[in-house]
Amino acid sequence: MRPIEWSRSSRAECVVAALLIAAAAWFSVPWLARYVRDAARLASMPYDARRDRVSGGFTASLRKIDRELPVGEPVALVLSGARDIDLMVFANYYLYPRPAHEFFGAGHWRVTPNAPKHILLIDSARTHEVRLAKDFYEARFELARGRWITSERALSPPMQDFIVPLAATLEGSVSYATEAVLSGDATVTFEPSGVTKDVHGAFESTDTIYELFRTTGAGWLHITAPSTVRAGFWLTNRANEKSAPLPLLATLPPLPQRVSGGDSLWLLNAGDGEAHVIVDGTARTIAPHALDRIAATGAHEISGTGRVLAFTSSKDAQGQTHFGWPEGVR
Amino acid sequence: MNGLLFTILWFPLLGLAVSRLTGRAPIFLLGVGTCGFVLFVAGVLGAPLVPVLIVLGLAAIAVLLSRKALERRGLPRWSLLPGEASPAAPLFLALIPAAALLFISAVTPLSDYDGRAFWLLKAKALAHEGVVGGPFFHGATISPRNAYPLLLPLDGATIMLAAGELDEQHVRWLYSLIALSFALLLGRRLQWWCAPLFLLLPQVVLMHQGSALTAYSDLAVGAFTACAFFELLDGESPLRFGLWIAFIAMTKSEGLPLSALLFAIGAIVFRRRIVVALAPYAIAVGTVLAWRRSVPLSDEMDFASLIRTVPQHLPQLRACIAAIAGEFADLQDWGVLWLAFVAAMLVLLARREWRLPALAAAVIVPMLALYAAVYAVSPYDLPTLSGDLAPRILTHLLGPAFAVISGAFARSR
Repeated sequence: MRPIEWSRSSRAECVVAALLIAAAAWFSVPWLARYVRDAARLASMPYDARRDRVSGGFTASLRKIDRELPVGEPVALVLSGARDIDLMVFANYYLYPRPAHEFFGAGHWRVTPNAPKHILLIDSARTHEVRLAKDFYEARFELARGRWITSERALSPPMQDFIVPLAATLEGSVSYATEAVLSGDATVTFEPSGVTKDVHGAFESTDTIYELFRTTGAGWLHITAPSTVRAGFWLTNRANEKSAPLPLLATLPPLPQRVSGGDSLWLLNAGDGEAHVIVDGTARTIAPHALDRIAATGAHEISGTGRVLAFTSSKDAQGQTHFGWPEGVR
Repeated sequence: MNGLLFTILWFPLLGLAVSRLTGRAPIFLLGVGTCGFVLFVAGVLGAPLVPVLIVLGLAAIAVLLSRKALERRGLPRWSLLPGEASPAAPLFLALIPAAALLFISAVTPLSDYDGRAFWLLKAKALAHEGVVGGPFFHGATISPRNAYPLLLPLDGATIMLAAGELDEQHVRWLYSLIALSFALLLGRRLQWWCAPLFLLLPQVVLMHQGSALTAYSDLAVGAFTACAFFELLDGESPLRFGLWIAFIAMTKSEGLPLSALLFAIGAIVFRRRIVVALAPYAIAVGTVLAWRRSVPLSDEMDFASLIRTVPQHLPQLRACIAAIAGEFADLQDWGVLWLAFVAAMLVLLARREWRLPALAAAVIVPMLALYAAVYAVSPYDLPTLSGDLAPRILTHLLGPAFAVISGAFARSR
């Protein structure tokens, strides 16, 4: 085949070429000029500072973490959800050659054998800065912060001194947390450990025990307030996104109490001394401020003396917790 | 600055050496392709990068100093200075966006998606591990699109190795200079006004996905495709043609079908001489296939299987064709370039000039049909196709498009 040979430019060609160039320039030149101005503003900065400016703090947070961790140790990039994949990909780029592995949620990290011990949290809905979590529960707390499982958060009537019979931050086959709303100043005590925390102003939490006390486990809460507050507490299973309301009790129902069956029978001693009770005919002593859990069968009758609350809990196939409360508790 | 110096010396050095053996060609693009090609082939065979680079550099110098190689081959029979007027005006026009492009690349850190997610991450890994197929590609860390071809990442790794650090700032120049070489190629091989037009196209100089300001591989595919297409028009050097299509196959996944199509057209143009092109091309295809088999797949889609489900995706196929056709008229991406291409095709056909439109259509139409089919069966949504993918696939086909537009002003002798 013979090659094509071009003739010399004609006037028409020059005009058409000018039009083609002008049409392209019409759209590109203003933006190009803007990019040049932006680049000129960055030019005097060190390269890392330019990167930080362009990334909005993302790269700075990664560089800080990278300096804090031992060289070459792998990290877990734990995402709050699929929306964080892009940031995860970029974090992986900036962290290289540090090995990184992605995890969708703290629970995924927890159940993965040999997962890297350093947890980097990526939560683009809240911030583009990557944070280093000190452990699994902090990762879980941070990723759950502000993401409510309970959709309708109805508050109690005004109260000043009351207990929440069950509160937990637990991770197992399910992922328990306690969601809470308090409308004003209050002192919250986590029993039976007795740790106390003052909250000021309106308080909302999707993982109350961890947020207030930086601890984990199950117990109950004693709340006192200088003036009445309205409140709401819910036990949530974050793994299945299920929520169960918890009663707020200014007084406990008198013994004997009867509760329906469930997986677990809980015995709460709100008093400062030991409580001696009889559970289905068997004597039992409950330590002060304790919350004992025993296997439940059918309905139970609890009699004896002391400021005691008995209740049962069970979890259905969907991960929803159901409580059985004695008469007079709602 | 080390990266810039190395980039403007190393790739032209290689390109010049290879062009001494194959005949004149755009030396920067030839160097970019050759470096990646050699490292990819040697790497898949197990050779470490640094020794291969040393041998490659010494071989290039030896070729350039060799008396025999200095006997240059003839230039292509295309006019270099096509217009009656001096090329000063279009050159000056091209210098403005070129300078802007270089300045922005020099100063602004990378902020695009694919560049950070895949291409320069792979470049970092290759430079860090010093081998092709090291732990990075076998699960040591996150490696999205693990089995993507490595020609450009190997070029990037070469620059990082020379600069002594795994930092994108040394590699930013590579992508700008590929665009500038592409512009120069269009200006020299077609008409000089093509150079400023190319460098003022928003999709080429601005866009966040696939422009010269990013580390995407689409402009490189477009440049190599343009080179291969011009070799088809020249019909002179099946060896150079084979090299260009080899580079295409090794640059992006879609380079494999694109290069296969070009090879098929080349078989018609070059007839028996196509066996010369087969040598580098077969090596490239063999390397890419061997590479894909040697590493675990990550999140790559199995398009070879998906494409068989096109009959079940006819409504999506129609929508994809419409989206790609709509991209022709997207002024914000292309100005009126692709509309001019359509008009130029009509002008050529009206003049009963068949060869150029036939060659261009033979490349563009099947590729767009293939892209439409692939996107129809892929999980990409239409806005992604229109906003991201369609502009990039048209970038691959800019060489034939410019040739047609330019050819509409030419008269066959």
